[in-house]
Amino acid sequence: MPRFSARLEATELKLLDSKSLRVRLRVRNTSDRLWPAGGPVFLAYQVLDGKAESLLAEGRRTALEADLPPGGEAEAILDIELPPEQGAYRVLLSPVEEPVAWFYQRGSECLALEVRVDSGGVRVSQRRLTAAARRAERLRRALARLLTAPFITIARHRPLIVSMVRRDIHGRYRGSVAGLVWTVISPLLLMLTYFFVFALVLKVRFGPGPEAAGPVNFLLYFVCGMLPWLAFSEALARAPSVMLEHKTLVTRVLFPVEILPVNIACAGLASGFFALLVFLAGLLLFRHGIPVTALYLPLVLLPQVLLTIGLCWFLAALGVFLRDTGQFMSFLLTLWFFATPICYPETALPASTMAVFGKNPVYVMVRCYRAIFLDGTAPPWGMLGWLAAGGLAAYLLGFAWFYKSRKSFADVL
Amino acid sequence: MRFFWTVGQAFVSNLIRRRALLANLVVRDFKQRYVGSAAGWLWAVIHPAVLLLSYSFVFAAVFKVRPIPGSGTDSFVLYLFAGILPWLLFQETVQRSATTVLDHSNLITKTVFPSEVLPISLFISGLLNHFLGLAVLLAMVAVLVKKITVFILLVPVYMVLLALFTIGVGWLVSSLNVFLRDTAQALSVILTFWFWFTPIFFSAQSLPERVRFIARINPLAYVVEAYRNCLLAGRAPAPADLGLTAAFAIVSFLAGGLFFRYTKRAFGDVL
Repeated sequence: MPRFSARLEATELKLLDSKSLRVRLRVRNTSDRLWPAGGPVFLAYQVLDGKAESLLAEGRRTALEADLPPGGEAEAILDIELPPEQGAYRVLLSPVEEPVAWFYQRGSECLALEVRVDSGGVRVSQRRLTAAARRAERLRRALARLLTAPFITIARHRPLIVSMVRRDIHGRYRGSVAGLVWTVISPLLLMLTYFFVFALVLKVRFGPGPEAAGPVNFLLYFVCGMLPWLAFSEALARAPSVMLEHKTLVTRVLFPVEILPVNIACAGLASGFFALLVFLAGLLLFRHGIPVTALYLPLVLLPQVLLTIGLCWFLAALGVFLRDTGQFMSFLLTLWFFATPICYPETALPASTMAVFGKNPVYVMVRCYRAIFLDGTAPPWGMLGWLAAGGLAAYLLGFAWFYKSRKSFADVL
Repeated sequence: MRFFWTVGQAFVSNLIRRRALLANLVVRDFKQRYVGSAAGWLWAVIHPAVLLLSYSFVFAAVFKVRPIPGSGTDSFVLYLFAGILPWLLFQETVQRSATTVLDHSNLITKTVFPSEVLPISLFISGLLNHFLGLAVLLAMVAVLVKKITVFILLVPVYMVLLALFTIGVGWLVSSLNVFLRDTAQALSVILTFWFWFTPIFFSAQSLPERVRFIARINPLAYVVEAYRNCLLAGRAPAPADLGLTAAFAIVSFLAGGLFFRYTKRAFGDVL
């Protein structure tokens, strides 16, 4: 028989006034030890909020009037003080051994009173909670939170995100000439360099046939592949340092820090969007039209956004604890860029490596963008489905990871 | 001419007098980076290794780039390795030189400190890495090519020229960065372009005729080609190229040195 085991039943519930409740309890000692009168085993209660997430108050201990041997039963009366505010509460009644542990936390069952205080009065229902039931309930709640919390967070702070992203973009493009140079000229020059190396020196061509030759075709395919990459890589490169940059917000004030990585992801998407406008202008110029399949873009964009935000959450939290993350990411992104068929066609990848490289999410994005903008076909659905599943998983797990580690940010920063 | 001679003499004797300080700086830098830090070692070894392998994958497996005939080897990894070694030494030294004066601003403002030794110490510290890379490369050459020629003796000559050129550029950027704090950032962008326009992945001969001048005006291109010629092909670089490289190196060294000497006086006010 275990050491912490008890069975409780409320035989009578009486409301003394709107704030206190008298419970007559029948207690059965199902453990292997004697509970002596006067302690150290007491009967007591805890008041939790209605979702059983946080402890609001710890109640007075009530001593047993007589020794209670294993298998014995006793009666006791507990007066429970409820919080003065209206709302839903859960009161857990359980024996507690001072100074060792609450019985219910060591696997014993306990009695739960669901109390609802509103203007109409107080309503109470009782329920016996076994340890397994408590665990299942916690798991269900955690799962529900895992699935909904990231969406709720973003929806709730939408105005803040919009204004912060707007400020970020304005600051970059309008603030200074140097800023403009860094953010616009340097990627342009980099693209020009790749154009030189890959189109002129290595003579890469996209697709067979004479129309595939020539720098214009290369440029279209290359820039089309760069569109998702720009948005994705910019966000991932900035994410590891975002918490450090906003140190004061993280440590000093009450601020929803979980939106900082979201801002980074959105700013990256904005860069991608500007590039898209330039690309569409180029498409009109060189091909005299935009295929109607471009309307599939939102379907491709959605998983891309989820994946980017999820990874940003993950990296932002990691960057707080491992300061090398930023350096490592810039290295990883260089490798990633060349492992993705952006400046070369996907057919150039050796078939034997496709098992690995075919799973690359940016590869999927690049394929989808090229399909809808250049080839005029629907995106490859199987791959897009894979991207959507992976993006959603990254989004949910990234937020869970961020949420878990958020509490220690202030200590580390 | 006389002027240069005097300045050069003064400079060299100054360096010899400061050799203890120089050795100190190198040892300290080396310790800071590697001793007691597993990450430092990992970074120094894994970073270039992974970079080399992934570039080899992209260019050899995806683009099917092969070393041009007469390179002495069919292995793109070797070809790339031999070419990228001098580049990495140059890039690391220059990039780190950019911030070195700022990093040592305490020493410079509070004491009489010959700040011109800083880029030199960075080069020497990078040289240790370079030797490690060369040793690995030579082992690979011995196993894969089975031929090491006498021209390997020319590598130290190019190393000296590279040192002159690199230190000259290092002086230029380290002093510029004191006055224009964006220099370090701009430099990382410039170095990226420089890297791609240097025939490291490809040979200068495979450049289209129109753009071949890019390799001619790029001092690093000569060094890279010379490393490959001496280590892999077993061929002496053309004497004209050697002369040109030497000219580039000396001009860079003198210009950088004079620039540093001239601007150094203002460091105290700006730092």
